[in-house]
Amino acid sequence: MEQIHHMSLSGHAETIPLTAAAHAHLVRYLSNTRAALGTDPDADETVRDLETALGDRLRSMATTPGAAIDDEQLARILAETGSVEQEAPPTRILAYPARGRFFCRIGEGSWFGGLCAGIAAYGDFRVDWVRTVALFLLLFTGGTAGLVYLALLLILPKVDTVAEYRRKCSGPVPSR
Amino acid sequence: MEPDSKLAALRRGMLEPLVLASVEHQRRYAGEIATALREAGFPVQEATLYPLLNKLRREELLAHDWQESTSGPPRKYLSLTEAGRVQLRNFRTYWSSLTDMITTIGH
Repeated sequence: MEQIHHMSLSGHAETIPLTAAAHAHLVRYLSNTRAALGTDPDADETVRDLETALGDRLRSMATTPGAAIDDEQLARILAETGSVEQEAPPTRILAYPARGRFFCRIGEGSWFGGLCAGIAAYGDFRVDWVRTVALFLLLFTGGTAGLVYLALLLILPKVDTVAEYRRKCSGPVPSR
Repeated sequence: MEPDSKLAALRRGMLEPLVLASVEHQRRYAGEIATALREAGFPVQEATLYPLLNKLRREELLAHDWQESTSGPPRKYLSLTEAGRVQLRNFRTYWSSLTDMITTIGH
């Protein structure tokens, strides 16, 4: 004799007798429904409403007292009830989001990879000052700064011009 | 009757106006709304209908009150609010302007 699960559904005082397979199926259906509703503010309420409606149908089906509803019967009811359509993710209006300032290399007018130009754009410094400081650092650290420079050349993304860098920082300009 | 796939998009848009219209003159609970729609030739699955009903309730186009039932759990009876009536009227006006359009545009 197969084990019978007694499942209680929202709104119904009496439990519904289900076979193990049907019970697992119904639990899965309800959790999928909850997941599909996602961030819908009424998700829990909707799941409760569906539980109540399913309970109505299952109870009208369970006419013989004590007999459990099997998976086949349940599947039929669930097919009639359907599944919640997942809400389409909001279409992105921005082609890319504003990302704020970020370190990069800038190709425009670069001497050696555009790292100094990138730092200058990041901090709104004059690029020749940045280059001077970089040169002093290179001399005073005995080449260590040079290694860091080479590493950054590999790591940092490249942007073609200063104007493009600013555009990426602030996001798309509203079309006129 | 299996509706044409070209008509499916139109039908989807009609669900909300039809739901509002179904409770225009009498309050109904969700199960009765589903039955009314089915009998009108617009079958809808509960999993589609219920999220919409809750959305309309949140938008205050529908109001609800609970009522004990003799044959099962208490029922949540839905009725049209004043905002719902206005919305339904807008739907109908827009709908008839659309039907006018489709009949006259080719002439």
